[in-house]
Amino acid sequence: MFERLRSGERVGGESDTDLHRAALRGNGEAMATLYRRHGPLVYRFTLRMSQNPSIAEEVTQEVFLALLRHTDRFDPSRSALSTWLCSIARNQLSKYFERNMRYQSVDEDEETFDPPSFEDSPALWLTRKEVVEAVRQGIDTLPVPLKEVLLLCEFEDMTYEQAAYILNVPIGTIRSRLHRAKLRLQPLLRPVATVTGKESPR
Amino acid sequence: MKHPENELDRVLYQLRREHQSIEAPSFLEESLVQKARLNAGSNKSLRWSWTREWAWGLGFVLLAIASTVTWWLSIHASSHPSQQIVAHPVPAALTPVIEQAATTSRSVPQGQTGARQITQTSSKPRRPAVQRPQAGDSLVATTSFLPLPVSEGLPEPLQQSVVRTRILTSSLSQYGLDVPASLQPQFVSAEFLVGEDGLPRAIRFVQ
Repeated sequence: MFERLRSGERVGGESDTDLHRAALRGNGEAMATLYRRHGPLVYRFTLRMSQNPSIAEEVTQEVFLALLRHTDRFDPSRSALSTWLCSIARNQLSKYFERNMRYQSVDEDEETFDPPSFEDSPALWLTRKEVVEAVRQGIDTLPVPLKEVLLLCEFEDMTYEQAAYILNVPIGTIRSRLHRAKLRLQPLLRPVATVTGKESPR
Repeated sequence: MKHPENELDRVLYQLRREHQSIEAPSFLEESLVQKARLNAGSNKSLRWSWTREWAWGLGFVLLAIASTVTWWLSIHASSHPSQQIVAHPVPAALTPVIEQAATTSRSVPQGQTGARQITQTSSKPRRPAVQRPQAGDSLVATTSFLPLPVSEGLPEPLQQSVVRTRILTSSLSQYGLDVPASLQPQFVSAEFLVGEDGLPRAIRFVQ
């Protein structure tokens, strides 16, 4: 996956580093190319994490402005530009969450996750479409540390190494958080098993 | 039958496709392009500020070097007392006066015109202000010894000494030299030929 992302950086004939240098010299087209190349990734990540389009737009803009302002912080030998941009986006989001007291830690033993209950109306969840919707809502209600790992590793196809760089945690933490996130989502699939009469093994 | 974990992967795959279809807002692109163009100007000013800082730093270094050299020269100069003598050029207005004195007075013997040719025999302690010519002295005589008018009638000295001093041009009149009133008073370096009786006999100007 790392290789896939890196090879994707040369789409358009110019590397991210060349485009970055050109953008720093005032080349607007280079900046536009960088945004078209990495803007969706940053925007998707921030939109999923904040669940607020206006916040996602603001953070995305701040991330790309950081590319122009903090020219010495991006080191191409350490990370791909997409990874670096995601780490900036994550930091910006963390600041936002801290300001709004929404950031939750999952390091405590007692976790406060309450998945939607399907006991009252199992017929409502018969179709797979509804299960998908339930999982989507379940992802949105995950604690932030689990949610960001799931987004990066499952939705953005990033490697554990990339996710560890972005989140600034060890790779083992990424593995455990991803595992815990999936464990929390699994109860949402129970209606499918119930309808088909094949309960999942515990 | 599908294993729940596989079912979860299938659901996540579907959500992933949906997630990756999200596009970044296009209006941000225009905004960033404009900011990039504006940022080029701020980068130039940043480079100029760096240039200014370098210039200031270089200036301070040069100032420190100049101060060090000046200090070293002052220390070095103080170790050679003879160089503390400041020679002043003979005012041009004095030249005719001196020439006149030279023609109207008696001539000094040829053997007594050089300071280094005079034997020093006086055992009296000298005043601190008196400076004696030394080897390596950088002062150069601009005139030969000129007899002083006030020394006329004095007995010929058996022994003579050369006394270097700085004297005001206005004070030269007390030795019988005719100094124009229009001449601004200023210090000049001069050497007096002094007899064993302590009275000056002749003067010459040094530079």
